[in-house]
Amino acid sequence: MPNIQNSVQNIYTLENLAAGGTVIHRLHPAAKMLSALFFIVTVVSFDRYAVLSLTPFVFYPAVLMALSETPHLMMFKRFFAALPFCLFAGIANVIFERSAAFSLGGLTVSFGTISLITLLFRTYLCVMAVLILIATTPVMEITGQLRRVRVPAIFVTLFEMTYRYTGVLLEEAAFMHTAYSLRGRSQKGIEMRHMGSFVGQLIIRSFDRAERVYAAMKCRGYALREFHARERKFTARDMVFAAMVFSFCVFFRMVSIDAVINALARF
Amino acid sequence: MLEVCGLSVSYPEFANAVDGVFFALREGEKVALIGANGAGKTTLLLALAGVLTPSEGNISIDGVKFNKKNIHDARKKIGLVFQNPDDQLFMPNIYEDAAFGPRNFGCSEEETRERVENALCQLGIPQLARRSPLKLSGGEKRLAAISTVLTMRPSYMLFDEPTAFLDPRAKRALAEILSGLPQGKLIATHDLAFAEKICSRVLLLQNGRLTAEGGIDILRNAALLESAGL
Repeated sequence: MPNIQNSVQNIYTLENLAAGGTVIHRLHPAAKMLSALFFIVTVVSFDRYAVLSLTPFVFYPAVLMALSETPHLMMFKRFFAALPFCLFAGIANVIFERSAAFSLGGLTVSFGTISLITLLFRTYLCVMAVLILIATTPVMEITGQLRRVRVPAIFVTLFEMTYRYTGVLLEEAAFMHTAYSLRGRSQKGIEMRHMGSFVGQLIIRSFDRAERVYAAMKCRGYALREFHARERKFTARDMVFAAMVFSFCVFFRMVSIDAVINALARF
Repeated sequence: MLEVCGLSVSYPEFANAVDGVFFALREGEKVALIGANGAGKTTLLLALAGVLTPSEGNISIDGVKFNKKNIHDARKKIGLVFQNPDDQLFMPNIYEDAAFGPRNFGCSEEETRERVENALCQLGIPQLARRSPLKLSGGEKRLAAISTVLTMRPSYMLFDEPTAFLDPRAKRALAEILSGLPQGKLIATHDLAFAEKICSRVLLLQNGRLTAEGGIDILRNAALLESAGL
């Protein structure tokens, strides 16, 4: 049970961080969302062998994490959750693209390896941009912005509910797991023959609990059509932040780091 | 005044879970709603809070009847504290949970902060503001759940088994806190001693019907309570 409870706690750790009061936290959510989106689009737009060109983009997460006092290690651990997916996708490149790109101290590096490294680097940058956005902006503000830009309310509500009910589902699983362990033969998880009824019961219980939570939300003014999002002014400070991020992305998208390094090497 | 006129509530599988109930709750009044398990106490509270739609009858506050159009305004005036605080505390920390209502009702961030701080101080739990609900004791959760309703500054508060999960000391503390709250209160409970300590009037619910209404002497009428399954 403590493990599942820790998982529930972990889900909400980023949201707790979002309650901070640093200069990044105080920025308008729209400025942070647009900047993150522009950053991600720029990073994704690079060629799959452009490892060097992506290097300057590491400043974005590094600077934002420093300014927002976000714990680096915790963010890095979360990035590892996304790692297996891109590793699995990129490993095929190493197998199929074997033509040599260059030799380094007698070791031949293939184009496939470079594209794998680019993919990992790109994933790192994109995941960090999203994590920093969530760690510095409360979820309600993000969904409020989505509503303001006319994202269909049903999608936003679905997102909010999924986010809230993940914790509810895990809590129910924790209670059931404890009850099972206390009467079960084995202390190591749930036996396969009981898994079907366990999962079935979990869904029914979670559904029941979710209905009660939703009732509690409705009693406190939560309703699909009557949502009152907090209004905040988009100030000059927000504008400057967004402009800086846009300029940074555009500049390093236009300037080829490879060409600069080659020019410096020739010089 | 909160007035309930001929209120009936049905579930698809259970007709008239609440059956033709009439009563009134004045501002500042403390009324106990007692009844055996399945008598319809929770259903009645959910209908009063606008969560369940009555099949018959109506509810009004200061002469204004509830309907689908004004339900949002009605919810500002009536706050419901659920039996299980875990159902009520779904945000990552107590501050966010207490701020949920005022924000939904369009309060500014400054006003929300002021309301949350006042509510937490009123209940003596300002130190819990940044704590996760998962890490609180039963008594702390109960007070945190009450704070989420207090921040909405309702005229009437409904409590569903407020003493559930509480030890005797926490019950005494809760009784003191509830006695000090100025709102009109309807307290659904099995805890007759708790009801006697706080309330001045009692409603007895039996199979969805209101079978007795009067002063706290009802709580000492052993024959009546026995017949109601208490």
